[in-house]
Formats: sequence, structure tokens, C-alpha cells
Amino acid sequence: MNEWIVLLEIILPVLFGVPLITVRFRDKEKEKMMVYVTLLFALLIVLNIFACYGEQVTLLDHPLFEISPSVRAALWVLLLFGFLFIYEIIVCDGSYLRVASALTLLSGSLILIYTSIPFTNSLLVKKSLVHSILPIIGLETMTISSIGLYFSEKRIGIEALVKYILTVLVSSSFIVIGILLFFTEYNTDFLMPIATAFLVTGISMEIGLVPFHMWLPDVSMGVPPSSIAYSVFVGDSSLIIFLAIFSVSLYNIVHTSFIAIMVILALFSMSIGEISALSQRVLRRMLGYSIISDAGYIIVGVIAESMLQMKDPWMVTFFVLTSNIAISSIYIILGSLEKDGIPLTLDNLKGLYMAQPIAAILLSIFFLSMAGIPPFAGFYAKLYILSYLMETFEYWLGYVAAFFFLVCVAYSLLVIFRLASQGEAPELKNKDVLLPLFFSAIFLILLGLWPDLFYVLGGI
Amino acid sequence: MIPVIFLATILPSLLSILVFIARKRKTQTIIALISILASYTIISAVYITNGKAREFLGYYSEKLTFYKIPIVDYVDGVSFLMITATMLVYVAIIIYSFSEIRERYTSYTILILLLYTSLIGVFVSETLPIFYIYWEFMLIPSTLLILWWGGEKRYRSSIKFFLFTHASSLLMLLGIATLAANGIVLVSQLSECRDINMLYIMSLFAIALLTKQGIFPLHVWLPDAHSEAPTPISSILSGILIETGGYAFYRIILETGALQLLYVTAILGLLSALYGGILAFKENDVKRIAAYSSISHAGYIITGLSLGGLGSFYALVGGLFHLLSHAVSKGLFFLVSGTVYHLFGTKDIRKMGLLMKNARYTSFFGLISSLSLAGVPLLACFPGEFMIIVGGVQRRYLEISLILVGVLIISAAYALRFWLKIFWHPPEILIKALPRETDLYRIMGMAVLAVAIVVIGIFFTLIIDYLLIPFL
Repeated sequence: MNEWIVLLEIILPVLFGVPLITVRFRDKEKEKMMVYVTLLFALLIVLNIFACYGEQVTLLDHPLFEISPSVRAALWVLLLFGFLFIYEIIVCDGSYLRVASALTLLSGSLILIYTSIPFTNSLLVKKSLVHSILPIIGLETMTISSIGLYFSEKRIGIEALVKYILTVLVSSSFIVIGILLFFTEYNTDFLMPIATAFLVTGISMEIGLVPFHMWLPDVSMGVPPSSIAYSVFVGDSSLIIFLAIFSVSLYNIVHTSFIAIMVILALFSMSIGEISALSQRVLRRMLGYSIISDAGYIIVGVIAESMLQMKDPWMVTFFVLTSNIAISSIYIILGSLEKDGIPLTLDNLKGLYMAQPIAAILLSIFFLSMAGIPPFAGFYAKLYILSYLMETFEYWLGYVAAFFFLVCVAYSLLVIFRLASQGEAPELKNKDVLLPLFFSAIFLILLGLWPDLFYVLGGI
Repeated sequence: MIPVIFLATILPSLLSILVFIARKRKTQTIIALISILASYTIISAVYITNGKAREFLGYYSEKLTFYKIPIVDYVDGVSFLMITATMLVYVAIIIYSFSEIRERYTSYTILILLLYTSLIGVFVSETLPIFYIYWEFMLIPSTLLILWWGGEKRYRSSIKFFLFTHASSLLMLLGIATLAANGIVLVSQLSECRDINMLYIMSLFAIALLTKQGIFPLHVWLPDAHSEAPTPISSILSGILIETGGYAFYRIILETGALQLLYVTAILGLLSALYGGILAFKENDVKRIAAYSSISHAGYIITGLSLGGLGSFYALVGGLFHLLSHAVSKGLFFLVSGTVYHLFGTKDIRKMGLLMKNARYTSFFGLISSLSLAGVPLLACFPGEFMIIVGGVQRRYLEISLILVGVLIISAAYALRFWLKIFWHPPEILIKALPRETDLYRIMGMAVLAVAIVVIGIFFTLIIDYLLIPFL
């Protein structure tokens, strides 16, 4: 790993993003912005190739940035689809502030992903403050840029933003306390489990685990869909990958009762998420609850992976990326169908198959993938998570997860069936948004038919 | 080596692109027919040249930490039997649909071709996760077919269909995940494994398979879905889709020898044979009669296969043979029900009658399918039912055989009631005018299956000798 190049890769999105904050937006400049962002991502991809496959250079005594194969695969997916979702922000929203925030968010998540393994090592072995502080910088960068992304003039948007900021403040303080406790020399055996608990809880708050989930459905309602799609895909995914990596290493030192609590919270998350999603009429809120239930599956998956001592979190990475691609793409389609930013209800979708067949078919593909029906990638994610649970002999958890998968199928079906029934369908505002979604649909089908593609991306 | 079986499986789906390009209905129909026949020809060539053929396609997932999932396809006598049944029903319904389906014919043809791929995939997959993929993918086209071309209550019945079958399949997925976690991903590995609780895993499988098969008390979705679907799709659902349950029962559950489970399934099979038969006799809706009759015959098949697992060779052969004979007979029965529904404009059997006078072909096909379901010799269903009953006697389960004979009488009763009420007796409720004979395509579609029923009924020994006995 060439750390100079990684450093450049991390800084580059911010460098490209910051000037945009000062520029005022004019409608004709969409193409310019597109070229600007394409240039940046082309650079990032070239840098990523050199960083991953070039010669090894370290900045300090111990590596500052390090990635495992699963994270490398995730990084490729994040960069490629991050680009597609930024394209959506430019097409749908066109706000320079949002593009700037999106680029900064990318920087933050790159920091988080690259430093996750050195961070874990520094907590357990070397106790290096520099390594421990870098992820916090990443997290805070993500928070600040999320505020930019979530900013909205609507009342519900502002309310959601306040909720989000409060949650993030609490979670950041939890994470900082957790890290600081690792550096104490007083009664280590007693404090280490507590420190881990603080860390895990802090991250869980940010991914929307029950009972820290209140902000998520509101943000989902109040924020423009293209922004929430981007932040779910890049922000949420990188947080979860970070969580997965350090949880596996810290599993042995944490107290059993804390794991039990996490399992219970995960169960609550699954049940509250899926059942609330089933009862929703407004689609954006339904997706918000779906993200909450995903947090539950992920916590269960992380625990299963930790129990099996999987150092490389392939399963969680695969699950979160496939699920988030589907959810983000659905947000984009919904956003392009909405009139004056009023969220669509289930009944608004009636007749979409007749009026907008391509949008309807794409929407069905994403919902089917989310529901885990073969041959889409969601199915493999489901098989993966269930087989891990079975391998750990936590059969009952497998059954509970399978039950909530079924609930997910139920509300996905509700949507798909609405598309096919008769009614007056909303108009598609901008056909350009569909282009990137083709790529996500093809990617989901490809991954479903040939899951090893993900491992190939990881260089295995 | 070229993966021939896999190519034959996906060929109809690939050719569906041509259906999309072709504009004329006739061309689309011909393309669909050619693709099905081509796929069948390839598979029969493989079967005839090799007998039991197996091919390894690569790995579905090689890099997983615990287990590799090799993709293995195979064709042997039993899967070839099922593929033959599928081909026969498909040829009939494609010709029949030419008249029946008036709207969105292109999407319809594409969807039935996708469904064909998934059905054949179920019959040829040896890898359990791949089997599950085909098994679940089957749901998407079939649900859409019910939803878009179905009757008045299609919305409700398609949701019911999807949710019931998917919920049960999730249990199967749990079973597959458990097996995979223990390193078993192929059907052929099932008999080798002794160190895990197979009975428990097979119970999960059984719930899924029996739900698909429509066995009492897991049959709730079946009457609605089968009666609300458009006629050709009812034929596929009743003829082939539910048979996949029986086929998988033979492949997976009988392979493991979970004996205690087989007692339960035999009893459930008996119950549903009785239940379906009695309800079919009491029902007045033509399509629902056919649907309840499916429940009854599905019960017959499961009883036969369970007795086969308990050691009766005759019952096993009978159960497997009945998969084929029931597919063609029920396919025709549904097509006849759909035709009379189309002619009279109502599904109520009391408002029908005397059709024999005007519609000789339809009534002849109706008679053949009814007699076949009633178990008359020289028609398709007789050998299978007979062998299942003999199998019961052979293993000294006399009471089971006795009940099955009773079910046979009930089947004869509802099948003949069906035929007599529609074609022979005057209507109970006065109708304005007697409809005329149906059109040529519908007749041709029905004729394919009628010929198949007679041929299978006469040459059943050939099928049993060459397709079943060498592989059991």
C-alpha cells in the first residue's frame, strides 16, 4: 500500500469539493459540473489502482492505512457507485453545496475505510494515538458533510436535521470516550469491555439501530432523495464496514452480556424496522424503516462473523453494499417521480408499469433484490447471512431473521403489485436519472448470478 | 466441454429476446414453440446418448470461507420424465394461448418462456442453492402471469400465492443454509451425511415442498391461484408447477431416508386426497373443481412417494409415473374448463349443459380428461394410481390402499359429474342460447394433450421400463 497515494486519494475529494461551496449555481452549468466530477473520479480510480497494486511506502513506523481484500472490493464498489449517485445529485438537485458535501462525505468515508484495520491494531496492540484519532477525523468529516447533504428548507427537514445532529453528537462523544478508555492504564481488564461497548454503541447509533433510530425515517422524509441515496450508500456503508472490522477483533474482550444486549437490540431493530415498514403508506418512510431493519441484520451478521473469528468481514460487506445499492436506487426513482417534492404514497404508483415501463421494471428489480428473491444479489446476501447464523449454531436467530425477511418480501410485493394495477401514474421528471440505475440493476443481477465477482473485485 | 444441459435450460429465455423483436403474434408463437422443442430435443439427445448425464459448470461461489458451491446439472430418467411432461403441457398451452390471450401477447410469451427455464432448472439442478434459485425464480413470472392476465380476484390470489409459497420456501432456504454450513450442497451428498439431524432439516424442506404441492393443510393458496389464473397458466400451475413439489420430494426427502417424516407425509397425502376429492365434488365453479382435483391428486402422489420411501417399490414407481400422467390429464382438464368458461361466459356449472350437441371436439377432450382423472384403464392416470394402491397392499398398509380406492371412486364421481353436467345434461338454470364450438387453436392445443393421455395410457410400460426402473 503506497500511503502517499492513499493520502492524496483521501484529500482529493475535499480539494475538489471545497471550491464548490463558494460558487453560485446556474442551470446551464450542469455539464461543467459533470465534467469536473468525472475528472475527479477518474483520478480517484487511477490513484486507487496505484495505491492498491503499486509499491509499498509507509509514512510512519506502523502502517497508517491498510485494507483487507473485502474492504478493497467494497472500495471499488463505493467509488464506482458513489460516482453514479453523485451524477444523480447533479441531475436531480444541481445544488453546488450538495455536491460539495457529497465529495467531502466521500473523503470522510475513505478515511474511515482505510484506517479501520490500523485503528483496531492500535487499540489492541500498539496504543498509538495518531492511528486512533484518524477514524474520528473521518467520522466528524462525514458528520459535517451529512449536515450539508441533509440541509433542507422544509420544516420536517429542519426537524430531521436537528434530530440527526443530536444523535450524532451523542454518538461521537460515545466513540471518543470509548477510544480514550482504551488508553487508560488503570484496571485494563475491567475497562476494556466497557470501552468496546462505548465504541460499538456509538457506531450503532449512527447506523440507525433501535432505539437510536428516531432520526432516520424523518431524514428520509425531509431530505431530497438524491442526497439521502448518496449518504445511505457511501456514509452508511462505510460506517458499517468500519464497525464490522473492529468488532471482529474486539469480540474476545467484550463482555457476554453486552453481546446479548446487542442481539436484543438487533432483534428489536429487525422487528420494529420491518413491521413499521410494512405499515407505511409513504414510500420514503418505508425505505427509512427498511434501513433500520438492515442495521439489525448487520449487527447479527457482525456478531456471527465475530463468533466464527472471520478476520475479513466479507459477509457484512456484501450484505450492506447490495442492500444499500438497491435502497439508494429506489430513492432516486422515487425522487424523480415526485411532484414538487411531495413524497409518494403506495397508491401513487398505480399504473406505473403502463405509463413508465422502464422505471417500473427497474423499481421492481430493486425491490425484488431488497426482498432477496433469486436471481438478484439480495438473495445471495440472505443465503450468506443465514448460513453464517447456522454455522454458529444460533438456529433461532436464523429463524427470526428468516421471518423478518418474509415481512420485507411482503411490503416489497405490495409495491410491485401496485405498479401493475390500473391507475394514474406520476410523470417521470427527468429521464437522465435512469441511466446510472441501469448499471446498478445490472450489477445486482450479475452479483446474484455470479457472487464471486465481488471476490474478484477484492483481488482474490 | 459445452454445458449442454445448462444451454438447453436457458435456451427458451434467450430466445425470448427474439419474441421481443418479432412483432407478429404468429411469429412469436412459432418462436416460442421452436425454443421449447429445441430445448427438449437437446435434453433428449443428452438422455438418449448418455442415460444418466452429469455436467459440472463451475462454481457459483468458490471463495466463501466455509463451503464451495459447485454448479452441477444432471439428467436422468426421472428428470427426463418431468421435462417431457413440461414440454407436452407447454406445447399445448402455447397453441391454446394464441386464441386465449388477447392483450400484451409479447410480455405473456416472454414470461412463459422464463417460467419454462425455471421449471427445467428445477428438474436438472443437483446443487441445492441453485435448485433454490430456480425454485424461487419460478414465482416471479408465475405471479406476474396471474396478476396481469388473471380473473377478477387476481390481486388477492396472486399475493396469496406468492406469500404462501415464498414463506414456505424461506424455511427450505434455512434448511439449505444449515446443510451448506455442514458442507452439503449437492443432492447426491444428502444420503452420505449422518452426523446432523436430518429429520429436522427435512421437515423444513417438507413444509416447502408440500406447500408447493398444495397438500392439506398447506393448500390454502391453491384454489384461488389456480382458478383466478388465465386458463393456460392454470394448466401450467396445476400440471407442472405443483409437480415440482413432488419431484423435489422424491429427489431430496426420499434420498435422506427420514422415515418418521414419511409416515406424516403419507397421512397428510391421504387427507388431502380425500379433502380435495370431496370439495371438488361439492364445487360448482368449473375451474375450482379442477383446482380441488389437483389437491386430491397431489395427495395421491405424495402418499405414493411416501409409501415408496417406506419400502414399497410399486408405490414409488406409481407416484413418479403419476407425476407425468397427472400433468397431462390436469393440463387438459384445465384447458377444457377454460374453454367451457369461455363458451358459456360463466364459471358456474349449473348454468352449463348440452354442449355435446354443438361442441363435439371439446366434449370429446373433456371426456378423455375426465375419464383419465377418474382412473379408467388405457388412459394416462390409471397405471400410476393402480401401482400406488398395489404398493400399499404390498407393504401391508391395507387401510391406506382402501382409502385410496375410496378416493378413486370420489375422483370418478366428480370427473363424471363435471362431464355430464356440462356436456350431457340440460342446464339446471335456464340459459339463452347454446354456444358453438370453440376455435381451431384451442382445439389443437387440447388435442396435443388428449393424444398424449392416450399414448401414455397405452404405452405406460415403455415409460416405466426405460425412464423409471433403471434409475430407482
